[in-house]
Amino acid sequence: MPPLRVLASRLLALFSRRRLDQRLDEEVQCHLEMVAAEKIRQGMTPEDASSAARREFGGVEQIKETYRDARGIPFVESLIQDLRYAARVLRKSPGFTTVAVLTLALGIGANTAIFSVVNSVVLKPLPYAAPERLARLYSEFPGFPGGGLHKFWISPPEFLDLRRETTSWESLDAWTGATANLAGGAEPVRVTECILSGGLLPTLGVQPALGRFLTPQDDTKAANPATVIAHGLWLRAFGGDPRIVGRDVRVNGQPFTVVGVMPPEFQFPPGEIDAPDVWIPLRLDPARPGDRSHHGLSLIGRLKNGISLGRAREELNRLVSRWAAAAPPRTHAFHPKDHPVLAFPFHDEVVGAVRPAMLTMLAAVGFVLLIACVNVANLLLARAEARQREIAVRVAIGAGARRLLRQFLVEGLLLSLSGAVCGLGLAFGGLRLILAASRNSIPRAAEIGVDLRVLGFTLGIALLASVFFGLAPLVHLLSANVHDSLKAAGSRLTASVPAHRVRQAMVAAQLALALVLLIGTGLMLRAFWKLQAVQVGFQPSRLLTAQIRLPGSVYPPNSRISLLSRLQQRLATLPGVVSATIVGGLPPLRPVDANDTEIEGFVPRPGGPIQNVDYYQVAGERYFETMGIALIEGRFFDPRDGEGAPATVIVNQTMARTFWPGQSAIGRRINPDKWRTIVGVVGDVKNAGLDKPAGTELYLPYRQAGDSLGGACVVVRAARDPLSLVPALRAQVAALDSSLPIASVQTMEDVLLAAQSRPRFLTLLLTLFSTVALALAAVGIYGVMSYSVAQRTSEFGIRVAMGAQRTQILGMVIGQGLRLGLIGSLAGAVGAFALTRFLRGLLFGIDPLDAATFLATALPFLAVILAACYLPALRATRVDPNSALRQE
Amino acid sequence: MASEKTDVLQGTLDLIVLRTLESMGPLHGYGISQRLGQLSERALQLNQGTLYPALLRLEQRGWIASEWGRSESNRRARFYSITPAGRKQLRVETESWERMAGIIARLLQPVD
Repeated sequence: MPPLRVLASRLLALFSRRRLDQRLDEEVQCHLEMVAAEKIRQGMTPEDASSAARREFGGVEQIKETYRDARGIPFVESLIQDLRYAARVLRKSPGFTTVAVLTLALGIGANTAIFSVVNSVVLKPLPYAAPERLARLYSEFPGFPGGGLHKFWISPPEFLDLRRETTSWESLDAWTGATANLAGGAEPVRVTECILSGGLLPTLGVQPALGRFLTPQDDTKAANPATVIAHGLWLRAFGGDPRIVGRDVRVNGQPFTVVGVMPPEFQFPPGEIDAPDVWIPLRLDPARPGDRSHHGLSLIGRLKNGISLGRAREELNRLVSRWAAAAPPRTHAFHPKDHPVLAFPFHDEVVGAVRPAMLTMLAAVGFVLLIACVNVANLLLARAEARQREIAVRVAIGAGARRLLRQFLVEGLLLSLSGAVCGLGLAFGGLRLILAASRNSIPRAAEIGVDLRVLGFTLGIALLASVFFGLAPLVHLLSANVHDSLKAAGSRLTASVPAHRVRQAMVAAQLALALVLLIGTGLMLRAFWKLQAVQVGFQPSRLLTAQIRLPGSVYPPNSRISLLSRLQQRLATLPGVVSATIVGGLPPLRPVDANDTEIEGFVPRPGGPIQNVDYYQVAGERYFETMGIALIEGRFFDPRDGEGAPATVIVNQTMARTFWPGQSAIGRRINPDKWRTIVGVVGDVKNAGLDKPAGTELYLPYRQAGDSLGGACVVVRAARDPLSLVPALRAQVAALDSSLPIASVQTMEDVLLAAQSRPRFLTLLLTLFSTVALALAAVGIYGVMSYSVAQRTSEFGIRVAMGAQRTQILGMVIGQGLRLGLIGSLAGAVGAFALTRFLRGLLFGIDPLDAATFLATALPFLAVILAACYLPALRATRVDPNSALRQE
Repeated sequence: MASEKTDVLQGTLDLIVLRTLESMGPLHGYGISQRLGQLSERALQLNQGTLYPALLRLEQRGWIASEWGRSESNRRARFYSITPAGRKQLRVETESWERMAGIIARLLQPVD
């Protein structure tokens, strides 16, 4: 290795090559003149002197070459030459270059956009201090009917026990979410609150933007109620007031002092669609922590330094076994088999649900890029054939195989880097679309963006792509004898047979890739349509919904009932309203209650149901009539089910079948809060999501359930457009109590749409990508067929001259294309057969090997191939035998 | 890289060029090659052109410097001169050369 100084001067020389070349020329010239002058003085003729001088000097060009090699860095210099040459070549055929760069931009852009989503959502660590030591803890009830309850919540006494007894965790904290009314700002607002134990914010290690965060000192019954608010709420409700810290606000009517504002990017719990606006302390009373069987807390733990999750799990198992052994019989306690505690990495729990969808998208865009690369490789291969003579000339004047190979790689590199630059532009645009379309369907969406890792990824795939298709022309070089082509006269250059084979194989492969993608998309589409056709159990059209909350401090149970009763009356008499009601929570997506419920005369049997009901619902006036829920047996609620009247309840069909199979449920008694008599059985309504079974559900008449009506949803059935009722709805609520905020005003159809936003988003993107893939593949086979037809012009001329019918030629060319198409389709079907099983988790009600979808996708696919072959075939039939033969 | 081989001839050429420039002062390429011819009494028969890559190497190492000037016949020519680093290098090279020459001489002395 030469010394640094030499390297530096060589590097400098790269930038002043022309000047240095001139200097050497001049020096050599000067030298030769001086030698010649000397010789002339000695008596030579000028001609002899000049040639003698040259002889003595040696080969001028060799010396110059040695000089240049010593001067610069030969590799870099010839690379620059190659680059300039490549740029010139690409500029010379703008059509080819534009098509190739755009194709690559599409592939690289799609990959960049999707990778930046995957990077931000799945790969990037959570934005907390040492996030790898954070874990989420769950309780489970594996023996629960219907497959058990998994990743379930933890009750307050269980949480306190765990926190007291475990030693693996540096901190163990709990949180739960709710919605609340917040007063004290400009006007009352509906907020999402996160109620958390005191150590939670400190353990995340995110400093507040203003004031302080909540600490364990705030988390006691004796402490002054304190709250920390989100940056967004601070701006929205308090106009960014810099003196917010110390200000008093009311959350659900309770006084709280704002002690801090979190920074804008902070979110906890992470990945939630409804990001919390306020954090308030849990304030558990260790002396009276509440019901051990009331599971409502989510747990986050921070592992001690040096303790692995495995060791922490072992400790949890030991503790659970010990507690199970010590617990008195028939009490609620942790148990290794029936009620264990599990811990998982926190990051996995936040993003785990979207990971399959993300990987599917990444695979889809990977396919698109591959197809794009094949197209460009084919283009380059065709060009390499057209450039045979140029290459032969280069070989003849001394270009080695390595130099030629490098030339092709450099051309590929230039193409793919240009593609990457355009692709980045596409990716930025595409990301915006994705973000707009993905609203509410992927967690951590706010963190999505392009960072260095994404740029590195883009560069990486661009380089890989350039190697892939840069090497394609080599196939041609290896198969054709360049010297022959130099000798070959005129235009009679034909494609070498192996190059032709390679091109056909590549097209078949790209058709196969496109078909795999199309079949995957077809499956997703079918599953999505099935989801649309799911019976939700009610009539969603022309329903308007909204949420209100009645704080317990202002509205004790009795006054809640009378307020809601008046509200329903007022709404029901509005013009354009068919009927109006209230309900505890809106289908089709509600958190499961899984409440223990005593059932009169219940005889447990092994493997049978246990006394537990999945969903409790509170129903307002004419709820079932308003929603359009079917009555199976008995009656709906009516004025007979008022306060003080005999306690009644309505159950859904699943519940009636679960507990009283083959019998009538009417007249039976159950005890959700007190003993109630079943007066009706209604049709099932989706609660766990459209793709899940309905579960057991019971309905309490609202006049007998004032305690559970802190929050309620208003449901109004309109005669016409439900959104036209929004101002009237707001006015009626404000007329009753102007301090009541009203939130989430939307039609029931929008509620249903939101419940399937993730499958819709995924299906939409997959459809987009597979359309692009299909278009690229069609262009690919079109290109190869056109090329092949052009190559065989004279052959077609002879055939026509010999009397071949146009239809015969048409059939011949189309047949050739169709053969490729069939091979590709077959390979694609086999590939799809192997790959669609990975979609199983994303497909609702559709078998990954659904034959109908396979067929329904493959047939139109073949039609597109046919269409792509038709134009070139048509061109083949139009060959004029005279002119074709004259070219011979 | 092919140009990096430092065989005896090249080392010698470098040494002679440095020595020439030290004793004669700034010279152009032709002047150096003339002087080479005189010194070696035409024993060192190398192509004069070989001199120029050698000059470039020496200049890259900072041992000589060059600038445009006027020859005796008032022709524009590039003149080379030795730098302080070059003088130092020359001393080092000379010593090692002499040491080597001594060793070789002793080795080749006929045994008594």
